[in-house]
Amino acid sequence: MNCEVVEDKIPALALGALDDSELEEIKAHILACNKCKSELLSYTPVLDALNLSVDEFDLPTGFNRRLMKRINPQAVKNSRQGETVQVQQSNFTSKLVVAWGVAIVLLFVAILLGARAWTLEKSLAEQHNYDEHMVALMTSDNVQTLDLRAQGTNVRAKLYLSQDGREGVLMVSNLTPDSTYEVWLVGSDGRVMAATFTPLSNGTARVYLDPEGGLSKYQRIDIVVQGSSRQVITGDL
Amino acid sequence: MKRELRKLIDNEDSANQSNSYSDHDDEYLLYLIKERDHQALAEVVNRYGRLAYSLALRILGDQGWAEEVLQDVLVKLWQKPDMYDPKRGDLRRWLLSVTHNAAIDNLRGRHGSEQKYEVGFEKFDILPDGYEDPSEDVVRKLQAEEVRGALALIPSEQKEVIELAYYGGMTISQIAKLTGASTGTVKTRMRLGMMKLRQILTSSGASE
Repeated sequence: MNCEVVEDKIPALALGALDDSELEEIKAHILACNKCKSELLSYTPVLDALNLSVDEFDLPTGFNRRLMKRINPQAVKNSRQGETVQVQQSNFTSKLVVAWGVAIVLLFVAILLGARAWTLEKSLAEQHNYDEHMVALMTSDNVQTLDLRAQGTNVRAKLYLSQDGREGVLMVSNLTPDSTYEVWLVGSDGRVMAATFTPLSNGTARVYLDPEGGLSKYQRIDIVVQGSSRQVITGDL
Repeated sequence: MKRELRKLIDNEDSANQSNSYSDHDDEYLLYLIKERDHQALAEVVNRYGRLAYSLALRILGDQGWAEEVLQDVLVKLWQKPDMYDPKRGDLRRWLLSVTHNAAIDNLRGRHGSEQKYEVGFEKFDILPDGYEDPSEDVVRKLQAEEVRGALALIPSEQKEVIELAYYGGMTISQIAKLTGASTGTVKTRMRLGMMKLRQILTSSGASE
């Protein structure tokens, strides 16, 4: 089979429209012929265009949840990522929703202004409780402590683990103040991000960890610089 | 107090995590998928799921089948992330190509055909390692509207055979039977339409 005959059939090959009877012979030629190979490749933009030209529809509601359930049923429980529920609306319904939305927003603005002072006060109280809880955990008689190893840096970290292994407080020092860090927990089911944090100006950070199922179900804890795979700390739990 | 703490941390984490994942490029997401990070896969869905689902829906015409096909593709990516090689095209192209092939296989299977669909992704396997596709950026630069505009520029009978083949999974002889045209006519329409589309797209991409 010569190139001229094959070139005529390449558009059909690119579209997957060749019958079985022709397919093997054409493929065998293309595998051995760089010119026809390039000709086939030149239709890639057309295939991309056909893929992109379809009318777009939203993913069905619950798609992510069902996917997570398939790859790891446990992940559904652990996942903190909210699923976007997108529903197609008719024009009429959309307008109605917008009108109601504006009215509700106005009402909420009024309520929020009134409640702002109360919320601020409550947030401060929660933060205070949060700090108190961490201090109580770290100073309790039965707390276990684990020193974590730095990876080629002078970063130091200590994990204060509650007696039941459910929660813990991570104290880290010698970090770069402008960077953001991620805390990853590695277990037999995979790894989950437990927290992200930015250190104080003196390079220290205190991070509360309370993953679903407890810390004791994980085997390792890693701290990495956000957006990179660079580990600054790792340690066995 | 525990519940309040939980709320505080959840709020902080969900805000931080969604930001951090959307900042990652595709290659890093793939790295995280290999590290068994579920949320990296969720971010892939967030970026390209809608487009891939729409393509599967265009081919299969049924929401349930379209979802099943896309879920299978994503589960396969989760189980064997190495099947995607970044050197051979970007993640969006790969995902759409694999979804397309899986949807056509599903369609043909339901119509009793055992012919395996072999275009797109499979075709990249015939290329030598390190080969760089010079046309890779052409379509990436174009918006969906421009692509639809390009398709509208070719004669309707050429567009019809291309769509029956690409979205309908039909072979030349099946299209000939359906349209009442000879196989030779179908082949010619297909070839002329594809060449014209290639010309339009390449010149649009080059002018970006």
